[in-house]
Amino acid sequence: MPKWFNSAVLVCGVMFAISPLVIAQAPYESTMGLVQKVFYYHMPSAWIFLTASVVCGIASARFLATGKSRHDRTALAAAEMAVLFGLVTLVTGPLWARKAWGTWWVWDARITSSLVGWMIAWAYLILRQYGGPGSEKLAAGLALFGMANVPFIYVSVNYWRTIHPATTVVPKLPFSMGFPLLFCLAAFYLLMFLLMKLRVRVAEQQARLDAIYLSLDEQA
Amino acid sequence: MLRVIAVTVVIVSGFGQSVVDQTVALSAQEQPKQQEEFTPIDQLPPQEQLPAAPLLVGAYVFVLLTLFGYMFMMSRRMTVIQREVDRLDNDMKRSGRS
Amino acid sequence: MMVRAVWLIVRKDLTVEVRSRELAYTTLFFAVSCVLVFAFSLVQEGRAAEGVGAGVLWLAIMFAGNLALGRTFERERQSETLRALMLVPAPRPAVYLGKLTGIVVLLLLTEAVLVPLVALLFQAELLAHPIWLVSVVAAGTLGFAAVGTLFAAMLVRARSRDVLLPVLLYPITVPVIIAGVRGTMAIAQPDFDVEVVRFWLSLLAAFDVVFITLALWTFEPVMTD
Repeated sequence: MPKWFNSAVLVCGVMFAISPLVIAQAPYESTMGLVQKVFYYHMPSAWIFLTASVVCGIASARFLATGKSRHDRTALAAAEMAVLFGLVTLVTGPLWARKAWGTWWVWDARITSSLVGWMIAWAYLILRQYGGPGSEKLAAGLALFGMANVPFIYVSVNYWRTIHPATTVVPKLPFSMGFPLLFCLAAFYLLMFLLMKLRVRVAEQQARLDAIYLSLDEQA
Repeated sequence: MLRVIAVTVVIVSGFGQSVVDQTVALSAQEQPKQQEEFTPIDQLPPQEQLPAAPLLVGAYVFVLLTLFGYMFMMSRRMTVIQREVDRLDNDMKRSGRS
Repeated sequence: MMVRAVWLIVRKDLTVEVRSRELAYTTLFFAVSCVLVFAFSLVQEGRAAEGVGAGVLWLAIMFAGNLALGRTFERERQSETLRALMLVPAPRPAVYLGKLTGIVVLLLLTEAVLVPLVALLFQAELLAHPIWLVSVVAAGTLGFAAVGTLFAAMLVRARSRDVLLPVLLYPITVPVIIAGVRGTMAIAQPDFDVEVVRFWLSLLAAFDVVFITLALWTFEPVMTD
């Protein structure tokens, strides 16, 4: 791992540690009160989930076009990020909804399409794990279809009258709420970058290990 | 004989009546007044609302455990694989193979 | 060249099918059994819940389509004709389109039996507006089959292909199924609103275009080693 990695992890840890303090400075929201503060972790997770799906799709397209393994490793790491942060989004959302809307789950457009997008990312990992040799290319094909789902998720909330807050909420945030949100977004994106770096490195070393064993077998 | 019975009946019914009267008076005191209609309110009184703090704290704890748990698992996997790669590298160098 | 290749592939599949009738009969029988099972489970005292018929129709199409897709490519794999198809001196997308046409024809034939059956068992007025119904069902079937043909072809040489096909196919086709069910429900409604049906139909058409385009792009890279 590069030398700056450990310091960056420390910085990220500190940012997460002080985030509750930053969030506590933000004012309460008028209709939802205390539970709205889940927003400062829920929304960055959702953005990372969508970002990771797009990264996976782009890396998969490059892998299909060029055949270079490093794009495939990036796609795998991005898919794991999508499953991870998607899980966080899909758990924090209902915890917020239980108090704000009175129900754990609602079948509205954005929530349903997010769940489906998350299942596609999970299906990608299942295919990589159990598909046998050659499943890297197949998974890349799947990821392209998954990426096509992303704009649908983001935009759906504006076209269907749903109970989920619209995309106009974020641009209209006052600074007292916008700053904690930006702080948390920075912390989450830094964490995603570090986790992807780590995961890609693990995949690289695994590939190197496999190559060494293969050459040992051939020489034996 | 008939007179004895008549007197007994009068006395017993007198007692009975006072017992019934007392029971009615007592029950009127213990039971609340019967509700004639339901009155709606917009918001539950604060002590009956769902508490937000456990949901909020639960959400934050879940997020931090999941994300940093994954980071911890990946770091461990990294050390195991790195150790194996270094071991094999050393073995190969020692036995003089390229 | 492309059109001729597509036609040749479709003709090959049709000839094999007419001789054995294996896929047609098994797919049809499975689809009808599905609908019957749903009827036993969901119809209480002779009445089904409102709008259930539309959902059951699309569920049966999904399950039967899944089997048909798996079986079509399994047949190719067993007779090793897939390799021969890949060696055909025609553009690779022609193989995809040929297979897609075959699957769509098979599913449409199955649906021709399923729609009246569901309308009967679930008291759904599906046949009230036949042209709209045919459009919605055809558009949805095309979207489902477009993704399914690509994935089934992709998985032919993979391990655990039988279970991986639904695992991959169902999440991707959820939007198509939602639009199909909603469109069908809107058709079966007593107070028929043409704008609602038109909305879902245009959504289905958009999905069809996106999925077929993506599939045509990815078919060649994923099928070559």
